[in-house]
Amino acid sequence: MSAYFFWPIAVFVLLSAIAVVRHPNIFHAGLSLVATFGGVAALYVMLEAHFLAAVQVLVYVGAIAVILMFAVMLTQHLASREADVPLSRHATSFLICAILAAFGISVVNAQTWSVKPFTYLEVKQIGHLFLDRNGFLLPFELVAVLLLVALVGAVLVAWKESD
Amino acid sequence: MEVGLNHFLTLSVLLFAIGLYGVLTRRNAVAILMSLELMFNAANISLVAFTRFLNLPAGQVFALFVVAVAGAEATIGVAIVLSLYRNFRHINVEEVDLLKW
Amino acid sequence: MGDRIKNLLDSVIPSGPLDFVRSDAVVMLLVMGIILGFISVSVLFLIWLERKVSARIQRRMGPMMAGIPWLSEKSMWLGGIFQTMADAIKLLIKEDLMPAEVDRLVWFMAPVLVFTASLMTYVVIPFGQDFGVSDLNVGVLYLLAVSSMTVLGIMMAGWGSNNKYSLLGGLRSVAQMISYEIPMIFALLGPVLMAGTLSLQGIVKAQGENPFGWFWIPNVIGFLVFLIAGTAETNRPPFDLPEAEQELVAGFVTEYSGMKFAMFFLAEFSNTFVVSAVATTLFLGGWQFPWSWIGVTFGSPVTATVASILVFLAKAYVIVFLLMWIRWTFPRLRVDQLMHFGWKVLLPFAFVNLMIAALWVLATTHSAPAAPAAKAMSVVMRSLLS
Repeated sequence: MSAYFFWPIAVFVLLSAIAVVRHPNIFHAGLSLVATFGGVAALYVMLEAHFLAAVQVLVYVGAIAVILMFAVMLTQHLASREADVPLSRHATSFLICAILAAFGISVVNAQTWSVKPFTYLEVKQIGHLFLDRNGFLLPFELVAVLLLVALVGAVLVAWKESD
Repeated sequence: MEVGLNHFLTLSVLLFAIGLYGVLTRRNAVAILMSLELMFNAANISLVAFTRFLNLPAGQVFALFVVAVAGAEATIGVAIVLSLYRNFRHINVEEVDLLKW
Repeated sequence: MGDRIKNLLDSVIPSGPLDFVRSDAVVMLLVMGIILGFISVSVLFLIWLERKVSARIQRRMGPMMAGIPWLSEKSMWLGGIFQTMADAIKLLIKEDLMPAEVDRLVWFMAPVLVFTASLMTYVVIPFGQDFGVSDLNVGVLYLLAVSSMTVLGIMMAGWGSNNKYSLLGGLRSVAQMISYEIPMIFALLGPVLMAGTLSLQGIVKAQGENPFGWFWIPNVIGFLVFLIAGTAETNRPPFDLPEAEQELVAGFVTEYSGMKFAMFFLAEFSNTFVVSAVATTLFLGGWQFPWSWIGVTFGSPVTATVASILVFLAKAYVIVFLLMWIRWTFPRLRVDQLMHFGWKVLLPFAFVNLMIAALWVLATTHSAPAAPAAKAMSVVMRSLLS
């Protein structure tokens, strides 16, 4: 695994994530989110999960980011900036997240992982796992039901009563 | 320098913390949804890293489920935001406090 | 293509001071140059073809003056061959305006994103036998993922222009594109199911030489659904409400002029070629041709590859001509008719196609699962087909 690819992509992902949470103009924050998704897809390619990388771009960039930007466009003006939040709130949130991050990183690095050689996971194998009763068949069917419920629910919640 | 499992997991934890910071700090409802998506992606990165380094196919499969669930959740979230906008004419979550005493 | 160029360079360049020419970076640059050259020539040809075809359908002659002097006004087809180049030069030398109130970065990056997404799709197209830029093992999914980036670019154009007509055009175009992506994906799944692989070269190889073994026979419905959805995806008439002149000023491209407008325009034609190329790859056998039926055998792999490239381009351009024919024949769809058609007509047909393809696979593979219903169904289908 080449370190030449990892460090620039990791820095890119973290910087765009910080832009998402800090940029006052929400449309630009949405575009930074798209950049983050792209960086994460690049990480998946590095981790030899090509199917998941394509799905990431297709679903996250092509659908989720689009729907979030739709929400922005329907509820904001072009140059609207978010009202300022008091500094104490920023400070406490930053403190909480810093403590959580420090805790997480120390736990991760304290482990000794039993690293094994990787056999590439083909798309066919993922498909077989989805349809295997001892595999992931039940979660697969439940996700299908969940998506149906989400579809119907979203339409119902956003339904406009025509006057 | 060899990039190992620890690097990816550290990245995942940092991304999760940044997403959490966004959820706690932002006032705009759509911005909160965006930070939530960051947290989903952080979890996915660690899942895929586990597949790659510990040779567990379940990691990638689970990551696909996370992507599907995140999609469903973003859709419902946006529907709620639109309903909110229709009723209040703004989506500032600080000012949606009709049920407070 | 990369390893062929590498072999060619290895044989031509002697080792010594010119060693860096044989490196991977130079090979990649050469591949990029070839593919970009092809795209440029192809898009220029397509724009000229569009104007001539539309002219002939409307019983007029099309561009006739901008060409070789002694040939214009004598031959209808060779009359205006340099017209596209003249238009391109005109667009290039136009003043580059940026309206004052636009969101600068967003407005500037929108055409870049749209054109980049269009260019990125050429990576996986199988132009010929063992000839393509790269054969990803998730090729079909990569195509879909990259073409969904176009949606984002159009949204940025609509929003960043700070113009209510652009915003409306952008929103309508995005709604149309994400609605028609779904029947397109389901129509693509039929051939993927039948070939058993997501790689485009693999799908072409699985179709074999026989024209009746290509995937258009079991997937007739899917072929039509894919062409219609592809037309909607590229914002071509009859689905061009978002950018129609009579409707929304010019839709999301209102604030763009000169080279930036040319980027959107070129991206539309480039996408048209990609949709046709993918349709021929998945449904019409790609670069396959029944050479053995006419008794042609190829001496060297190079001639076989060249012949396959010519076959592929011929098929792709026939489909392009079909799309142009459709454009100038049908009236424009209204936006509610468009959405109704995409969700309530195309999507059910795409589902039906997927079921038919699945039944076909079940009936024609001998390693079908041994459940009794499947066995009975396969027996019935095999007797119907034999």
